[in-house]
Amino acid sequence: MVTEFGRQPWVIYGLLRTEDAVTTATALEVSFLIFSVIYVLLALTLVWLLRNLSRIPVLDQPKEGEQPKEQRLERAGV
Amino acid sequence: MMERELAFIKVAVLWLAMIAYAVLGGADFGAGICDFLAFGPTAEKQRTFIHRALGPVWEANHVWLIFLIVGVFTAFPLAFAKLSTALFLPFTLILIGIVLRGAAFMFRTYAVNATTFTSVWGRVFSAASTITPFLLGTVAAAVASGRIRAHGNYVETDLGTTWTTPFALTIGAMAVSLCAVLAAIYLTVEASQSHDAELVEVFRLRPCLPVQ
Repeated sequence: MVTEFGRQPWVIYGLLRTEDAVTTATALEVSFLIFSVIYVLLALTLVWLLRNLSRIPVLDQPKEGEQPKEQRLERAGV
Repeated sequence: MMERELAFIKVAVLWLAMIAYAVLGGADFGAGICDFLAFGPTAEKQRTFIHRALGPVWEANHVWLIFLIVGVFTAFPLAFAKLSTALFLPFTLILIGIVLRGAAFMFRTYAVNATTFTSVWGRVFSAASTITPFLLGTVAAAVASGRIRAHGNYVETDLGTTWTTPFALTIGAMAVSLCAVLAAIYLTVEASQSHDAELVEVFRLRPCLPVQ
C-alpha cells in the first residue's frame, strides 16, 4: 500500500504516469461483474463437491482410509 | 541495428513457444472437441477414454500460453497493451473459456458418482474446449489481417469488426479443426497402445467423419 501510494502519480517512477497507463478498453464493469459471478459460482460448486466427497464412507480396514484418495489423485493426474 | 536483431530473436523464441502451444495445447483443446463430438454407441466409452488420456497432461500444456503472455508483455509491451485493449472482448471470452474448461474438467473428475452434475460439467468442458480455440483463431486472424489501428496512444476496444470478418471466422474454424485432428491422432496412438481396436477405429475415422 505504502509503495503504491508513495509512488503516485507514477506507475513506473519517472517514466509512466498512472493516467497514461489506464486502459482505454470499454465495458470493464460488465466484465468485472461477469468474472465475479463465474468465480462465486465455481467456489460454491467446489464447496458443494468437497462436502459430498467428505461424506464418502471410510472403507472397512483402519489403514484403508488413505487408499480411495490416492486412487482419485491418480485419476486426475495430479 | 542491434535492437532490430534482438527483436528478431525475441520473436523467434515466442514463435517457438507459439508452435509448442498450438501442437500441445491445441491437442488438449482438441480432446475436448472430440468429447463434444462423441456420438454413437461407444460415446460414453470414448468420453471415459479421452478423460483418462487427458488426465496427466491437460494443464501442463497451458504453461506455454502463460509463457507467451509473459513473453509478449515483457518483450513487446506497447504491442501487448494495444492488442489487449483492441481485442479486449475476444480475450475476455477466451479467458472465461479457459477458466471454465479447467474447472469443469476437475469437477467432473472429482464428482462422487455419475449424475446430472457430471454430465452438465462434461458439457461445459467440451463446449469451452471448442469455443476457446475458435476465438484464438479469430484473434490470430485479426492481428494477421492488419486491420487493428491505433490513433497515437489511443486504441479503441473492438466490439467485432476485426475478429468477426469472414477471414477471421474461417481461421477460427480452421483452428478448431486443426485441434480436433491433432487430438484424434494422439488418441488413436493412445488407443492402440492400450490395445483397444474399437476405439482405434473410432478415433482414426474421427477427422474424416466428424459425426458418426
